[in-house]
Amino acid sequence: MNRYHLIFLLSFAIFIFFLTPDVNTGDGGELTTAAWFLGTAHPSGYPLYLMIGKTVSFLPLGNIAFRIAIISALLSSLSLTLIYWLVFRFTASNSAALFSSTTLLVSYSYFTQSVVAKFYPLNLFLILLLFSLWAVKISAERPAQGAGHDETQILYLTMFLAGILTSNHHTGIIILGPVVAAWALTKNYPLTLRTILTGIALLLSGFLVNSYLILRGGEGHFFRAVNVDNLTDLWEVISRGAYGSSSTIAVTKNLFNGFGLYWYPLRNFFSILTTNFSYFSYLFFLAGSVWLFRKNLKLFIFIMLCLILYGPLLAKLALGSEKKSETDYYIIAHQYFIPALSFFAVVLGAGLYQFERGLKAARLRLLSKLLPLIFAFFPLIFLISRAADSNYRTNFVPYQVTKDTYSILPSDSVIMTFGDSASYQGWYLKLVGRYREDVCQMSSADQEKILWMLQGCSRKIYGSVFPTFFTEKFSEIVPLIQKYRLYSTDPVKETGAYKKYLNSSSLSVDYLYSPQNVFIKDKKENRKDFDSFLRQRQLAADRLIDYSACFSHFTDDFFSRQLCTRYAIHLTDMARLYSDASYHSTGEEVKVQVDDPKSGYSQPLYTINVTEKNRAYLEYSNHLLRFNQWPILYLREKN
Amino acid sequence: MADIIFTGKKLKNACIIALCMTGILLLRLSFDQFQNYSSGNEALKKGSYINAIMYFERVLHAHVPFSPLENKARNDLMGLAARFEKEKDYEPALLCYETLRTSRYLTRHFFVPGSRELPFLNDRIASIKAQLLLKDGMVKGFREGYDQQMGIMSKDYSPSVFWSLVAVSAFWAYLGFIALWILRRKGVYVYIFCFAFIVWLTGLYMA
Repeated sequence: MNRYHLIFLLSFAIFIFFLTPDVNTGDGGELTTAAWFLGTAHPSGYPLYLMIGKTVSFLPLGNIAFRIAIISALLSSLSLTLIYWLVFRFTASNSAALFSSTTLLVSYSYFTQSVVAKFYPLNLFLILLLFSLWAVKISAERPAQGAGHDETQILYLTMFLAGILTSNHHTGIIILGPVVAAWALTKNYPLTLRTILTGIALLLSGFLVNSYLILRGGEGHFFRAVNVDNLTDLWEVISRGAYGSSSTIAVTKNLFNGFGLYWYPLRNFFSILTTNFSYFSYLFFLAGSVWLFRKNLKLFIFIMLCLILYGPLLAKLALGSEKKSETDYYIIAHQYFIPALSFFAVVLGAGLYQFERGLKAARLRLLSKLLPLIFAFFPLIFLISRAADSNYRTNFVPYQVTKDTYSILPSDSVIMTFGDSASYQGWYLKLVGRYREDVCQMSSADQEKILWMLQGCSRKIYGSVFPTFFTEKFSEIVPLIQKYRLYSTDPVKETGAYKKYLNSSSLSVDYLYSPQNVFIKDKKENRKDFDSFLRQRQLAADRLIDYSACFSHFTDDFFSRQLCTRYAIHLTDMARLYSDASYHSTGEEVKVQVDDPKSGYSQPLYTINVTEKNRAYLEYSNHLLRFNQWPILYLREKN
Repeated sequence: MADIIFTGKKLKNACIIALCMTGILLLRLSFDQFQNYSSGNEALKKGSYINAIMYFERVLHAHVPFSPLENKARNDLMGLAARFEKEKDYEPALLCYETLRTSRYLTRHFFVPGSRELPFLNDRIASIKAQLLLKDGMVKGFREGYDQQMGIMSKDYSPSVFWSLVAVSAFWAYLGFIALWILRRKGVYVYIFCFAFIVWLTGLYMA
């Protein structure tokens, strides 16, 4: 065992301690389900991640979502070790190398991505492999470091890794820009035809990981978030063509539009750096840059190029406008810039080394040994902050809300989920966990343009249970809906495709859908039945759900907080149900209205009589909303 | 670059690291089980049954093979389910059985832990659902509802474990032997890579 092993094991232990215990919000549910079923995920399909996911899913420890999340902890620990190794190689200072690793470890975005199931840690690891390979090659040009690297070997590894990079997140390929520059800066002899051909073959052999998509994304496979039936589909998926103006190629074109518009991306990027490392870090960054510039200009150019491409340039593509929403910060700022944070951390280590050298030059022997060491360990203090805002170990919200969404449904119901979080978590619970198999889950990205994904409602399974549901005619589905069997995680939207057919009413954490009046024969009788059913189900649901997960999570996860609002709606609906004078009115009155930011549902403004029975519901609802109002770190820093 | 290749000593280190990682995972999961089982027991004593179900479920989700706490949580869930059923309180009973069944599927790997009790769980779930469906007028008779539910639960669309293992092993061999070829340049690695690649594709197709 050496210090690298220790760095790896300690960071792995920290990440595992804070690791999500079950499915997390965002893509976690989809990736876990796709990995288990050897299916496909949303574009770009993520075949490499899914193969790694399938491998760890055989681990006989924890649940499948937890196992998939281990990939993040494992790869983030490896990345930290790689950074330690790299900075130590540049500076030969333990403190400097440790400083780089610890500052990165506790940085908000890096830490959070390391404790949930996501493909960003894998992306970073691949990027860092290429980065290290070329950084070492550049630094090894110095005779003191003892060169002897086989140039073709590095070229071959680069080509192979470049091929593999295409099978994960599209931002990975940006590293190839600085790599080409590094090659141009360091090449010692011209390329031979044989080297070029072998390089191309290795690029292809890495790219072939994508053949997974053709084999598992075709007709007949159970879980396909994207269909890949031919090579055109494959290209569409890899280039993320389905995202239109957000596709890889369309977004790349933005890079060259409006060079004057770099101010906001730059500002947004600095905001990300400051949030993750604080203003204090810029001093070290400056010192590190100066040291690198003096020590090895080529290495300095390479690192800065990496930082610029993964920083301001990426911000121009993805985070370029003046005003950003909470979602923009949470989805883009929090995930895309992890490579930039890592390169920044490398320079920070060099900065501490410069500081250490300064102390040595001043002949402050004790200080030159003690201070850098204190600085190296000091960032670990921020683990306390991470325990308060990124403690995913305590976050059972996504699993519990999803489970309750299903638990309250009558047997043989259909539930429609809209958007990523609700659909992905539903897939995990229903398809991998096989929870409430009598319920059929249909998913669509939104209500405006409905494109049903029937992974949770395969005709093979449910064709005989809901024969009418698979017809094209709405009138044939009406009898099933009138038996109160159609639900959703979202209410019917004004702009939705179903507006002219359906109404919705809030029912606990779900919404009960009913046909519009024109489709109902006995309207009066139907209304009476409907009200009685709604009340009876609301009471039944109150006995089946558990909202305590929303009081005990220490994360500022944007989507978890949104999900908790659904419990607040349930609680205020219950308070309204028990507001009758027969429940011993206290004489107080309160005005209540809860907005669900995810679905856009706004509860009608109720004036509720406080009774002995409903007081607790009102108090819980109030506490729950307050507990989940904590803004995400990026916004906290801004205000 | 040759120092990347494993030597005997490096292999020994790798084994020690793997053992340490397993230890870390076991510690985390055992701690979770202990904490959640204690909370579940407290909730049970207070009569907060739904809360207890939630905590016992978390114990099962933090699966550790041969864990005594897992067995206790399973027994407590079964006890709660039987109690609800006896009181003809069908929906909470269904919640218990479904929770237990899902916990088993969510912790499956090469096999489903506790798979011996799955037929019993399926039977209870189908019975309760059939009764609820009959009450709601969704089916004509108990048998129809029961058979329908058993039909749904008998289908498992998970890929074959054997072919999944073949695909996973061949995938790592495919990537590994390319890397080995780059580092060592032995012609035989190219053949092994080609073979592994074909096996990987076959595994994916068959799974």
